[in-house]
This record gives sequence, structure tokens and C-alpha cells, in this order.
Amino acid sequence: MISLSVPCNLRPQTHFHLQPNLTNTTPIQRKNITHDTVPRPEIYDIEPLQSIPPTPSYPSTHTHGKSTIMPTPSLNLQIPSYLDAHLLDARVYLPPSYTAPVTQHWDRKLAIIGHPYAPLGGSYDDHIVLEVVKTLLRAGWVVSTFNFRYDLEKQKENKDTLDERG
Amino acid sequence: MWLIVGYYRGAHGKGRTSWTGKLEVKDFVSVVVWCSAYVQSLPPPVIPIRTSSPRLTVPASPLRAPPEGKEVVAEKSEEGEVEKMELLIGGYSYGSLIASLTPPVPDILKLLEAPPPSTPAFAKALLTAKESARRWLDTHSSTRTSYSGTFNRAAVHAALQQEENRKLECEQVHHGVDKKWKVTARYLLVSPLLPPISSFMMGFAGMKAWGLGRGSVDEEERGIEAAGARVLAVYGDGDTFTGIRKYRKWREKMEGERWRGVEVGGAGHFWREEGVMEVLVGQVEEWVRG
Repeated sequence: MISLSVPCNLRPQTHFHLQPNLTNTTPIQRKNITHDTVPRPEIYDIEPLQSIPPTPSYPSTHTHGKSTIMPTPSLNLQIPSYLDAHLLDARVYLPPSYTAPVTQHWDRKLAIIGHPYAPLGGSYDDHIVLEVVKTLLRAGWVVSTFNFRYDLEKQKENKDTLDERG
Repeated sequence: MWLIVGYYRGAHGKGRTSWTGKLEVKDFVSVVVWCSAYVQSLPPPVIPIRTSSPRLTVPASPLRAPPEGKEVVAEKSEEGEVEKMELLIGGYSYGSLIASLTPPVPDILKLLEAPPPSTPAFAKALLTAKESARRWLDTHSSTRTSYSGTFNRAAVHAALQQEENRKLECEQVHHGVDKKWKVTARYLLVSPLLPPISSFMMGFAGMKAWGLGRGSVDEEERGIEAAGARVLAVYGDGDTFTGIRKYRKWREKMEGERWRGVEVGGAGHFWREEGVMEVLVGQVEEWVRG
């Protein structure tokens, strides 16, 4: 499967016009600039995403010595949470029925699979999550997995909140 | 198990969990919304010519000689058309608990139509989702020189000459945008965590998740409780987190036409036992194909 990396942490770039933003140009500034130097609209483009470091795995990552063939994500990206823009590491897998179709009929089917408990080592690399992903891909689903937010600072914060209440 | 109890010792027994798991549910929803934007914007798949039947070559069509103006016939038929998408929200263990706490799908998809203005990064990310999906053909068809298949924009895209391609690309940018979507939802729960373990993690929400809680401070609606939602729950009878009696009671209460429970003999929470993974995969595969 060919891989395309698409991040969501957007960065201004030069050719792809998604959302102009001219608010940082005051009318006075505009008067003094020639046509050629008119600030270009702020534009966003796809850039390669830096590789996401491997995450620890749930104790269940245990394959009995069998070799596990991992599916390859079509996208590795970071999706901001709608709540606070916290970036979530995510993967999108496209099924063979889309990437190498034999018929043009394609049902749009999307599955999102949550991983086991992160404090116990759960992540989107979890063995069982990956087995479910492979199964869904075979059945023609687009599948996404992501890592729940989890960091020690957050954990500490939560504990502090509780301690205050308690 | 002691790890979890230790970690959440503060939350357990307080009767309220204003924070536990709430962020994770919202994270899950964010990913659902982003991926929905992506999948709805993907152009139809393109078949390389060598793998398709010769009689399926692009038929002579008005598009070969496009009519005056910007009207393109292929687009016409799609106006007002309702497109379908299936959405599966699922997870394993804790992941299934969070999945079961997500709001009803129509509520989730409201975020796609109107992303919250308070988080512009999310709205921008949705634009990227649509744009990168639409550009799938551009980035993945470079080695293909011609296309065939039934008549649709993807086939036409390749069959037309350069200038006409340009027009069509413009059309593709709008793919999925103004369409109405009928989204059906289903839920896949692998080794779900039932109370008490779920309430250690989620408090009342963890009880409520499975229709087991009576009254709660948190009465938000759950997508998994929606009338039309299909559910598959697969669990092992040797699960150390949730006892088999709990599972059976729960299954008895929930099972129905749309709710299916599968108990796998000899399987533990981690599905390490000989042969059980094959059963899990087989059950899931049958259900996701149906």
C-alpha cells in the first residue's frame, strides 16, 4: 500500500489555498506595498509528518512466537481534539477494495477502534487492536486507530484535582 | 487489577467523575469526525485498465464534448442525492468502554457541519481531511495512464483531455460537500469492561455505559443506546477483568435483534489462548461483512 503522510498540524505554505487570512495586514500597511509584495493569503498544504515515536504496548502484545504481519497505514497523522486542539496520534488504513479495486462499486464504510488502557501500556499498536484492524480491512472498511491522550503531567493534574477535592 | 484501583482510588466511591474518561470520549469523537470528513471526500476508487473487463471502457458520453457553460452532466444526477456511509465505533477493553460512551452519531456529525469556533485548529484539520481525500487520485494515480470502468467521475477524469481534466478536478473539489449523508452506526465491543471494573475507571458513566446503571448524575445520551444501532460484543469466558457471570447476565439483558453477544470458550481478556484469536477474528469478520 502506498503511504501518504498527512498531518493536521497545519503550517502556512505556498500553493494550496484553503483559508485566506489577511487580518494581520492593516489598511495602512496595504497602502504602502506594491502589487508584487501583497502578502499572499495564508495557505495550508500537506507536509510530511515527522515519524511518531513508538508507543509502549499493552501486556497483551504477545504473539506466541507467531509472526504478525502489521497492516500499513495509508496516513499517519495528528488530529486535533475539537475540545482543546490537543494533538492525537492517529492512523488511517485504506482497504484493498479502495487502493486496488477490482470493481468500481465501493461502499463507504468507516471504523474507528479504541485501544486498551494506556496506563497499562495500551496503544494503537496493541496486538488485538491490530487484528481487528486487519479483519475490517479485509471486509472493505476504512479503519482508523489513534492514541488516547495520556501523559504523566495530565495524570498528576488529575490527581491534584482529586486531592484538592478530597 | 490493583494498578487500576490504585490509580483511581480517589475517584472510586465519590459518586461523581467529572473528569474520568470524559476527555477520552471527546478525543474519540474528534477522530470520528475527522475520519468521516476524509471518507466522505474520497473520490470513488479507480481501476487500472489491465485488471478490468474490456467492455467496461468509458462509454461515449456528453462529457467527451462537454456542453457549453460549466454544466457537467456527471454532476447533475448527484444533486440532492443522498449518499450512504456506515460508521463503526468500536474498541477493545478500555477502548470499547470509551466507544460505548460516545454520543449518538447525528450529534457527532454536527461537529463536522459546524466545528466549534473555539477550536479553529480542529476546523482547519477538517479542511485538510477533505482536501487530502480529494487529492487521493492525484497522489496515487501517477503511474496509471488510462482508466476504465463504469461511468463516473473517476473514470472520466482519466479519459478526458488535459483541459477537460482541469474542469473535472474543480468539480471533484466539491465532491461530498453539498451532499446529504445517511450514516448508519454500529458498535463493536471486544472484551468490554463491565462494572465494577468499568466504574473504577469511569464512575457512574462506566455503569451507565452498558445500560446497567440506574440513575446517574450524567444523563447524556449514548449512541450505543440508539434504537437503530447494531452491537456486537465478543468476550472470553475466562476474562479476568469481568467475570463470566457478569457477562452472561449482561448479554441476557441486552441481546436482541440488533444486539449480538458472542462468548468465546477458553479465551481470557488478552486472547492469548490457543485458537481463540481465530474465533474472535472469524466472529468479527462475519459481523462486519453483514
